[in-house]
Amino acid sequence: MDITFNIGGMAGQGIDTIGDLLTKVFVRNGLYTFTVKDFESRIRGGYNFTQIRVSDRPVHCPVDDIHVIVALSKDAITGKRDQLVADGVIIYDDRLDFEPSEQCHFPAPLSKTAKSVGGSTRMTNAAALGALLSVVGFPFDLAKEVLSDIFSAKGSDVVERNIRVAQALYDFTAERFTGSCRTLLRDLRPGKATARLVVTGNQAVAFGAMAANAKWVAAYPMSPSTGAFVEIVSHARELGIGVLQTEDEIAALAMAIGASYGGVRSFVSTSGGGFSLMVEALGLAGMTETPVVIYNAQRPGPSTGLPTRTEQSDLLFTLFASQGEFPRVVFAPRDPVDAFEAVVRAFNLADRFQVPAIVLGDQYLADSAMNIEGLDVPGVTIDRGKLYDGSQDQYQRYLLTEDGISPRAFPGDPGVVVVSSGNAHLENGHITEDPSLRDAMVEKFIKKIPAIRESLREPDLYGPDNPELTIVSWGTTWGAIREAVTILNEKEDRTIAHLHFTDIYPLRTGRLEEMFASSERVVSVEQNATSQFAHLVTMETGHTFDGHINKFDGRPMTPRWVMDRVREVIA
Amino acid sequence: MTTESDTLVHPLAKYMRTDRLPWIYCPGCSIGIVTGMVARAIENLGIDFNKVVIVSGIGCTGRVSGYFKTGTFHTTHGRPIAFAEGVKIANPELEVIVVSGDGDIAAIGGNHLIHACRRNIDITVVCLNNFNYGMTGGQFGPTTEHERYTQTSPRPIGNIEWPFNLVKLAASSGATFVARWTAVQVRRATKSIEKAIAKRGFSFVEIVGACPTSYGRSNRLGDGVEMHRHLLKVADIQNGLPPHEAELEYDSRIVCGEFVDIDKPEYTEVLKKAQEKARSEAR
Repeated sequence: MDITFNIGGMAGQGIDTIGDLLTKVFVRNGLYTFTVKDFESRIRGGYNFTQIRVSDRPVHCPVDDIHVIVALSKDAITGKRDQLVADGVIIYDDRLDFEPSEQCHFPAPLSKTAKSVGGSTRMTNAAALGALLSVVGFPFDLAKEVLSDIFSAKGSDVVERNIRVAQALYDFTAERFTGSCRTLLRDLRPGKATARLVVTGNQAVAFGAMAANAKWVAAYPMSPSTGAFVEIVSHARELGIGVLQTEDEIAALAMAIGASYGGVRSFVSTSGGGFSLMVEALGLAGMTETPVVIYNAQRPGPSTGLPTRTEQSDLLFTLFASQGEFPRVVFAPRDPVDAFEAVVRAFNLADRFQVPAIVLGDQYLADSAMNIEGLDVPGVTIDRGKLYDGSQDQYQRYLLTEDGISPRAFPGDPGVVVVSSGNAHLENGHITEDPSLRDAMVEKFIKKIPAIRESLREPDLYGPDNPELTIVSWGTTWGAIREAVTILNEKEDRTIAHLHFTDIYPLRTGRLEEMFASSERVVSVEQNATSQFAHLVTMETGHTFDGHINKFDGRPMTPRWVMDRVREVIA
Repeated sequence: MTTESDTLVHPLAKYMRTDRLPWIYCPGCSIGIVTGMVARAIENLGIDFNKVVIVSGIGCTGRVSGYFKTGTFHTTHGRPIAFAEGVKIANPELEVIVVSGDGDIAAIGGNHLIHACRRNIDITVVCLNNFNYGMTGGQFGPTTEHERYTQTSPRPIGNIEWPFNLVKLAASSGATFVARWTAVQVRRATKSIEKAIAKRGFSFVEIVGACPTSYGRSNRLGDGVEMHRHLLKVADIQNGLPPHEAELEYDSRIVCGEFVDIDKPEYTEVLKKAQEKARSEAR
């Protein structure tokens, strides 16, 4: 069972709320959901949609086929009608100027009933929920539950009125919505999934930072990263986290480095434009060996680009950002659970190696939601790395050591003076231009790189031995590619392997070497125009790819899109 | 023969990295005087040096942090205030002092200055205003007066821009303590820096100083001694004057004094109270 709902309308019509209500219904009934939000960079009007994929098996990406459209504006019909399957349902507000041409086009008095029964067109979302529950044949009690959940804070009157509106549409639909339209949705029955936590990528990133004991979080609002900052802000007071909305991203990272120097784990969230402003401070973190974790939710650039869309085009910029050479760690998680773990690991590796760590997400990860079993917060371990034990006559922040890592102390610690400088410095932190010290300090930086690489994970490998094709990918494209590869192997007798990276840099090359040796062909799939990860692989291994598959229209990949491109490559 | 009793040790040497001396500054520069003011203020207040962090940016004054025996962080250009805010909020027990120049604080870092004033975080900013970018060879900056000559505003036109008045800027942005002195009013300036450090709020102290090597030479203002004599002559002490009247005209009148000393809730205290409240409600 695999059914997709598309709920569309104008910004401000409550599309999100209908999506949230419907997701709650499915999750409580033991199903897996995957929700993407497609919206324009505006507050009111336009055409936005929420698309919910429901299945009895875990799903990790959106698909092209839509089974039910709920339309609150005409654009919501015309925009998605091409993707509607045969016998697909369109439930639309009967005030819309649309002539039904199929039996399953179902005009419903959504806004009229909201007004007449509930007293406000704002209850159109409750009306849509009522209609939807009837269409899928779920009991009405579910509407009562979820409406109470969502609106209880607004008082019992609001809840009651919403329930009455939903009931009216439920009954209306039960009476009128009949015939072949229902056959399509016959399979949609409660499942056995116990995954009850609905989480977005932004939330998972925020939970990761909080679980890793980040005590200082600074950010300047920027789509699509803002949700992560907002999530942390909403828990900051009770968890004792210092959060500050700064005057700009320059200040955000400068403050975070200051806080880290002061002794606390610190975190900043931003998108590409903000990361551009942070680059100078990134170099300061590198030079002063101050750990800090940066979350960049990528969006299509350059410049403002497509503010509410997705892309993986900041990779090479992230790897090489800042003048000079210094070690850094880069992760690109594939889904919310992976994002939570990557952020926790980023904090531990940043502390252990005293380097900046960057977590690359994107709008697709940031805003899409899925239900999961939970996040392993109790399993989080905190590794603050080498801390000063009082054994030096006079504390030296940049003491030259075998592994290049100097014990950290913090200002205010008894008996120590912590001296740091963005200039080249001596072991005690003071400025020097001595060439041999410069050599020693650069070597200190550089010798960390192989050690960081060893502490990263090898990529995830899926598929048969000696494949005809290996697809190499990274970050959030995992779900669509894995599903595409599975279908091609199982239904079309292909032998395709999928090598997927979350730990990006310093790049681990062992499995890459194996796949370049054993696979007939190796192709990259990336959500950018220039195959940036493939360039990194070539740079690190000397191997070149047999082809590149790229998507850069700002919309997430679907399995069908991937399969179509892969078939072209194979042919 | 030199015996131990013959060796004169400066009373503030204990706070300074004497091993780093002689320092990098030109003869006649005011930065040494200002460094002395800050050290003396800390001494007079009897603060544990271990609990002091001195943060600086880039430029001549930016190098000051390196001569202190406290915790120091020499940051990137323009960012010492943002950095200092992070240190202070991470550990409010620390006394965080920013010492930097006019270009660092008011041009590239001007945004951080006004927003730190507005937030009222308990840090002290000592800004040495020498009217130009000294370290890079004497270009005009945010405090360079109209028609003054610098490397990038050469004769015969001079600077076509107008300067910030830093006292007015800090006061109108919300700083709770604002003072201005010249480098020759050492006792008074030191006292103001003491008050600024002791103040629970954002404090801004401008010290008008001399850069004979660049600004002085470009504008034929004389050597270091002459420039400091001039500062003494034009300084007009007007404690308590409303900040919007604290004029600065290099040739004729530099209004000095303490212009703002008000009380407002301080950021880290508000933050702490809010967190305590949220936690007690959560319980």
